[in-house]
Amino acid sequence: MTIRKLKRSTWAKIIIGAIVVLLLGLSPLYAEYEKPIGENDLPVNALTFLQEHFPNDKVAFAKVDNDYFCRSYEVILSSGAKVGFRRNGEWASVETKYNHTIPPGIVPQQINEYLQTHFPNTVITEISRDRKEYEVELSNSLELTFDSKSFFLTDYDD
Amino acid sequence: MKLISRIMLNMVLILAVGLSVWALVFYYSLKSRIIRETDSALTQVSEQIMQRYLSGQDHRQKGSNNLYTFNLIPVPEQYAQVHKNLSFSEGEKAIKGKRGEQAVRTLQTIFRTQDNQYMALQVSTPISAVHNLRTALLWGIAILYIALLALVLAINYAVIQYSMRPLYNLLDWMNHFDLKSNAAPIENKTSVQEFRQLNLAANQQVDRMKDLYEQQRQFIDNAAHEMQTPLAVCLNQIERLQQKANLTEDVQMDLYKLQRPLRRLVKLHKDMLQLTRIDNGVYAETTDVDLQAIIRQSCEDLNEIFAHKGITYEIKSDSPLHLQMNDTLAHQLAGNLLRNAWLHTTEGGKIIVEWHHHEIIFANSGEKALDGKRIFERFYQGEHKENSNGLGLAICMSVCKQYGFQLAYHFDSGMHRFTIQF
Repeated sequence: MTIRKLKRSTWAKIIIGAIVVLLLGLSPLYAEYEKPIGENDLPVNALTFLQEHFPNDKVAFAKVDNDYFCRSYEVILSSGAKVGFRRNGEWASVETKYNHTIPPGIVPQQINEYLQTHFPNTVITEISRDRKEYEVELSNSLELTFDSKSFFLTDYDD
Repeated sequence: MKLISRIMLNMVLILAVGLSVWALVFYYSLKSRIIRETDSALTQVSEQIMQRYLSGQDHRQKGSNNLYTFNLIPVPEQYAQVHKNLSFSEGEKAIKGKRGEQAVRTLQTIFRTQDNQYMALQVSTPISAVHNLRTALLWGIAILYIALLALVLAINYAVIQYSMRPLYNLLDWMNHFDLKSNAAPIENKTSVQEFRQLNLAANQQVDRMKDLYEQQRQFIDNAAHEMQTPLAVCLNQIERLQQKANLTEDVQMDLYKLQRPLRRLVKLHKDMLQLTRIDNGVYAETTDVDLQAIIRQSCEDLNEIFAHKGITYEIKSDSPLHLQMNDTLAHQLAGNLLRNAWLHTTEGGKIIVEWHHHEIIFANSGEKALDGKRIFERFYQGEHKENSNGLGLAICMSVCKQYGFQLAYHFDSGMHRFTIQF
């Protein structure tokens, strides 16, 4: 079908269609990224984790984050601690800025030992992990990164 | 509509629509991004305040700094159930340290404390800066849109005009082309293939036309010359036969019937010769011709010849009428037109000749309009076939063309009008 043979009405439809598609394609921009959720909407292993390590805390506030289809969850506990979970419910970060004690059993043993050796007077305020490494923030504002097999990577001051 | 107008119109429509779509998309996506920055900052601050409150570090239920104001309100459970979502809203609020009310954006988050008390945390931040940014953005996009549209259209117009010059040259040449007077081939310089093709085609056509015309001219010339002698011989023979004494009336009548068409043939031949002679420029000599005298003389003569038709004639103008042209041709021109007038007016009709400024009008009464486009063509005879050979007006037209006169015909309130403009 040559361009010349398309009637004007067909052209109008094509143009309108293109506009609609364009607008629809931009709708993710309008979608809400973050939404609060109830306790029960958290993944099961996330709830289990919370039960295990924070038995005395209740869920104060929980939300889900749909950033670019990489879903994650964030929970603020009644003690003020903040825990982040990946899509499958595994913990990704734990922050206890305001009470300064990360429950035992979360931080890998090697990191604990390392810290006791090198930074005996500091406490971990935040720990986060991904597939490759662990990142730890200390009470003296130092950030340390460890390879998942406990290898010391970088050391920077914030 | 001119080609360039059509192109520009289509372009304006399409571009206006396309650019509008882009502009809208751009504006709305930027607008939402800007707000998103503010919202994400509000969210962060809210979470910090929540954590501090929950961990016991900060018991305040109200507070503000330069950027944020917050409020912690205990709420009943039903309220919490209904207002679950994070809600962003915009409104006016009094901000400490600034006079009056300011536009702010507020985020409300609902969370639960250790003792199952639901709290609504409202964090506000001034937003008029963002609004101003948004307005500036809107203006910026509008101006950019108009400027871009105008620029693109202007550039396109200029480029098209420039590129189409050879085409306009060609059209110009076509308008001024005349086989007899302005037959120069076109000289359009261009490197564009299509225009070159057009130039070539135009020139080829011109050559073809010139050849055809030349052939036609030659043919008439030759035919006329060849016909001369045999015709003369025929007529001579008939005359000699007629002068023989002992002829019966029958034979005399037959001879007469033979003579008439031959005489017509001779006239036709004479006219054809005349035509080729005019075309060949034999009558190039010009003198000051008193056309008025010629017209008056012809009218008198014709009126005598056609007295039996009872036609009245009138020469309305009296001013002198002098033209620079060949004397013979002047006689032919006026003579042919006047003879046509007398020939083709019905009995009792009238003929009017008048002239002024640069125009002579020969008018005669008639019933039906003639075909103005074709009467000047060679051999066109219309409805009166016996007395005309179709060349009379063709000869007039050739004469007029030689001097650049305009010869025209129209039929008006019962009169045929032939006008010569010079």
